[in-house]
Amino acid sequence: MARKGSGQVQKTDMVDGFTALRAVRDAHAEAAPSTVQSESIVDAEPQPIGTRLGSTAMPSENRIVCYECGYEFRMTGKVARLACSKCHILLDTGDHVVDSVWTEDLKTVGTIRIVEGGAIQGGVIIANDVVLAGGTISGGRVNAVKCLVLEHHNPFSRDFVTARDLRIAEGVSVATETELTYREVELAGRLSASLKAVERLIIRETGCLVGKVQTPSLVVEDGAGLLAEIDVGVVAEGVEAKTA
Amino acid sequence: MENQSGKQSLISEDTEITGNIRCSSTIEVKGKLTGDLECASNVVLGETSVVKGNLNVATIAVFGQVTGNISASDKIELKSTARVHGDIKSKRLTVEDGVTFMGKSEVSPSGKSGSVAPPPAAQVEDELEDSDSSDRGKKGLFNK
Repeated sequence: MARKGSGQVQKTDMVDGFTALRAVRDAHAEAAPSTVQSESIVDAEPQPIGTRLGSTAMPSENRIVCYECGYEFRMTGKVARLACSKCHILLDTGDHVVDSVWTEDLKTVGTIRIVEGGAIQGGVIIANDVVLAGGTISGGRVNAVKCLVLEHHNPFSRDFVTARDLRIAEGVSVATETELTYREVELAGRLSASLKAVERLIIRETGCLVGKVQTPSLVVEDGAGLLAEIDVGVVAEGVEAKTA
Repeated sequence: MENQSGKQSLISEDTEITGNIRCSSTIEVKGKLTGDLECASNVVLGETSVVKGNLNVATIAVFGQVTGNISASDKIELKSTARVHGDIKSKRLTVEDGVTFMGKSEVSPSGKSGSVAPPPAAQVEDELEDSDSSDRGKKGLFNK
């Protein structure tokens, strides 16, 4: 902080209230945009989130669902410590890898990856994304708040697993006789099932769907396989975005 | 829109045809067609097109309405404005978001046409049998 005195600027260690207020006032006055600048800002088209403004990248916005109270809120960027906006419980934001037998509770707003040798046999597992990459789920209760990703042909019971979205990775084959219901499904692998995608079904060029499909929105990339009875464009009534 | 020989046919918006059409060159339909269409080349059904009949073509891009079956030797493209009520069969298929489609699809890029290809579920079920001794051979990946 600087203070003028006898024509010279002297530095002091003291900051009084008046000096602080004056500094704030001066800062506002300097930062006040001119009329021309205001018009240009108004006329400018709104930039979507994630685009670059000059040399600054906008941080991504993440949807967070509190695993304790279920409250959903959005967070921009990444933080080391995150508390729920409603229940104020400190949330685990880390990603976890399960590579052995697991029977305890595990809750995070990040990703849980169940790899080769990992076996969920008990406890409550909650994560934004659950990736089944070689491990097994044979007990407990697994809830993928966002997406269940299948990267391996490993068996699991739907009695134990719930998810909002489903993604099947390339090279993975999944077959079931029961009807599957998810909000959004993305197939880069092969699925043989009767499927209801409440919002959208995307079949990538390496993907293939065999069976039945009901969805309001279908996207098929060139090269994909589709051997199915199809009902697209009609919103299924009474279908909720949940796994059966 | 022209094919290699430069020939093309156009059915304009104010044209309504009742009967079958057979052509070897590219054809674009913007009007109404009640009947079958057989074309050895490319077919474009414009946004204003309304077709009631079966289509047997090489490649087709659908922007309009089709009530009937579509069979393409190469490729079917369903654009976002397309409304198709019928079965489709082709080697390749692209579907854009917004399409309305009710029917059966038989698209297998590997060339395995015909009935629904047997899923490699056998492999999955084998894994299930190894992992779950109860209800052997009856459950799929999801143990149902």
